[in-house]
Amino acid sequence: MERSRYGDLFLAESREHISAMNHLLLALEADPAAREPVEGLFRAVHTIKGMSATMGYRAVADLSHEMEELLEELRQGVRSASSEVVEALFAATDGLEVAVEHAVVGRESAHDATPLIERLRGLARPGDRDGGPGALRVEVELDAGCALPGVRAFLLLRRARELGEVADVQPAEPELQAGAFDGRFAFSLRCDRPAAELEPQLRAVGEIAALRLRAAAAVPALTVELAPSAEPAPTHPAGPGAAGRARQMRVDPARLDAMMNQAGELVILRDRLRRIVAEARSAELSEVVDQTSRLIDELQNEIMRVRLVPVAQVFDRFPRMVRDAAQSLGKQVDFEVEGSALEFDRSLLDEMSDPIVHLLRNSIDHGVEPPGERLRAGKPETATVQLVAARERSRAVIRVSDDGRGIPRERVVSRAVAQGLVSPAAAAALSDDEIYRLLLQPGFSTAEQVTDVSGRGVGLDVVATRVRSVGGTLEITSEPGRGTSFTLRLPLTLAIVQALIVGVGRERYAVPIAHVAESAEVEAAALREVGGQRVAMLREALVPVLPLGEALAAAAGPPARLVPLVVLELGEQQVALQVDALLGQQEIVVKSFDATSDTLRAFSGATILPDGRPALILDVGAVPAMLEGTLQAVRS
Amino acid sequence: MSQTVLICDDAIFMRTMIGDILTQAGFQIVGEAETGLQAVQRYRELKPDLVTMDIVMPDMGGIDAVREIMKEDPGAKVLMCSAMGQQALVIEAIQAGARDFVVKPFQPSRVLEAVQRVLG
Repeated sequence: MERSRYGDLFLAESREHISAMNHLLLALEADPAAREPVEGLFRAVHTIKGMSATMGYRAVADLSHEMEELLEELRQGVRSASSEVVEALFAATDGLEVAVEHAVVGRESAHDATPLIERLRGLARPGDRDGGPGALRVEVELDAGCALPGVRAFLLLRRARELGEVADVQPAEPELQAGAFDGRFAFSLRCDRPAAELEPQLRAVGEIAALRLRAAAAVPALTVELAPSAEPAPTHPAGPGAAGRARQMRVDPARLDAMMNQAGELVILRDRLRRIVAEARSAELSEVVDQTSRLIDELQNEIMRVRLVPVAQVFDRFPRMVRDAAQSLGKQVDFEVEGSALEFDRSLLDEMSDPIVHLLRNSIDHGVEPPGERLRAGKPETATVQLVAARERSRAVIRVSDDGRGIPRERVVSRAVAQGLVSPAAAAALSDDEIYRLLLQPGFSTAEQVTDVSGRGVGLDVVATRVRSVGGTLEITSEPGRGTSFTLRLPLTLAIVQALIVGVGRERYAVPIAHVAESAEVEAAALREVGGQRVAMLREALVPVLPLGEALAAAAGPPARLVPLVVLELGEQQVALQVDALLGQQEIVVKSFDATSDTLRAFSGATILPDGRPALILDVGAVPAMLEGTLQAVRS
Repeated sequence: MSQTVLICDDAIFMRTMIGDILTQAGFQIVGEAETGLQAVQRYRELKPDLVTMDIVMPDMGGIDAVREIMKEDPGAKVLMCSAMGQQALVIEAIQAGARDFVVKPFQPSRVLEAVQRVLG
């Protein structure tokens, strides 16, 4: 088996199935009598089992086989989906996920599935654990790579007949010998040897992926399972089953990233070419460049569209996580998801997945009250946590909100004072927005005790940093007793952004246009100092001004009569950047770097300008801190 | 001492391939046969630990050769080599006394697994 080639396929498909299984288990938990979740679970487990057996991942195959057994009993109605059963399946699904991830990196032995298998077996064979002498039902699944399954089945039955009396072979022997089955068959074996002794003897026949013995009485009829099913046996990833899906193909995301990068470089060259053409004044050259430009634009758009994936791909794993978190904290939570069908850039979703997990945990842990407290406050016992994806002009919006207790202002303030983040005097004058921003300071946590769910010492600052690093903003709104919401506003793609290029002294910087409200030139005399803060009067409002040259310790140009300002929109707040020159708007390809590096905190990445010179991309999210002088944005 | 093998196949290509697989795994190829008749004769002379037997060969096919060999030595260990789609013939060979089978095209690992099962 060529693992290198199929490993990625196996991993991708298994992850999809495991994600689906979590959903189906939630549905089953909500309605234990429902049939569809059981059928779906059975199919998912069955597929994973087939794939893993093909890949030779024994641990995955064994565990999924055991899950399949239990699900088969649910299908047959022999067993009901009790909470004990559902819990065991949840645990086994988690185990399966771990086993899959370990298997593909060749560390299969790192995960011991035996306890989970034992747990499932304990459920699957009520009151009948030891087998004992008498009739046993033997269920066999042959290796997916077995070349002549009919002959292998024949060999196994022959061996069984040496050991005892064989009866009730399904499918019937002529069919088996002709190979007209999907690799699975079963028979009854009557003999007086213990099952533990029989199993290795039967397995020695070879090419057996799974073999199971159990007391015949405990087993429902197996005809349904063993009839040649319409669903093809998942033997080879590119087998006949793939024909119906031939219109889609899987692509390594790294290739898309590389294509996107190259398209980005083309965009930069295009801009350079345009400048040259403008100087060359040749109608013919200009026409060719125009056409080329259009093609490059289309190419870039196409690649961007290929990179779009449904939000559901990331959101689908959250219901399970929310359920577990709520359960472990003893809270009752209804989880609502909106906008799953929207499509966002894959790398953006990848980047935001962890921050969303963090915000959801934060909401459940800190926002949502325990049921008793909610009842006393006159609220429904069950809280609602919402996860919403939306498009807002040229931005992607992700919002996590709850109807919990809201952010406790006093506790945040006293905590911030205690931690020296703010002086008691200044604390009194803080606006709501400023107080909420305290939550985003590194290390800030109001949780009195560390819980399993959140508050492990990493706070919202991690979320804020990550959001900033992709050029997004995080907005917090909260109402005491009514709830809290965290809104992430993100660029639609991480690879290419529209930016305003500004000059400060001899340096040039790129300001992501998504945050720019307007640019303006004002009379130098219109700038004033109010309480040590430079401000400008813009449209009859006072806007704080950040002299970018000073903030970045870059050599600023000589004072001019007209001062160029770039007005940024930061949540509810506006801040004007004072620069030396406005050099125009253009698309830039973001080359990100590690934004946590201290000397570069003011920047989220770098880019190459059309003339081939590099420019740093301003981290707009860091502007408030620069304004307060708390971020010393010194370049190394 | 390494275990001895007699390879029976009418194609040099297949004999060479099986020979290479088994030699590399430490077996000693003591003889080869191109027909069923030769296979029976050589088995008698060499008494190898293992026989690999093609099904379709001139001058007595592999299945008849298995029957003859089993008649002389009920303990003989024969591994059938078959092409895809010959399950009926393979079953017949097993009923005649062959212990296991491998299917062409050969994968070395599968051949060695089958050999281990036959000898084990």
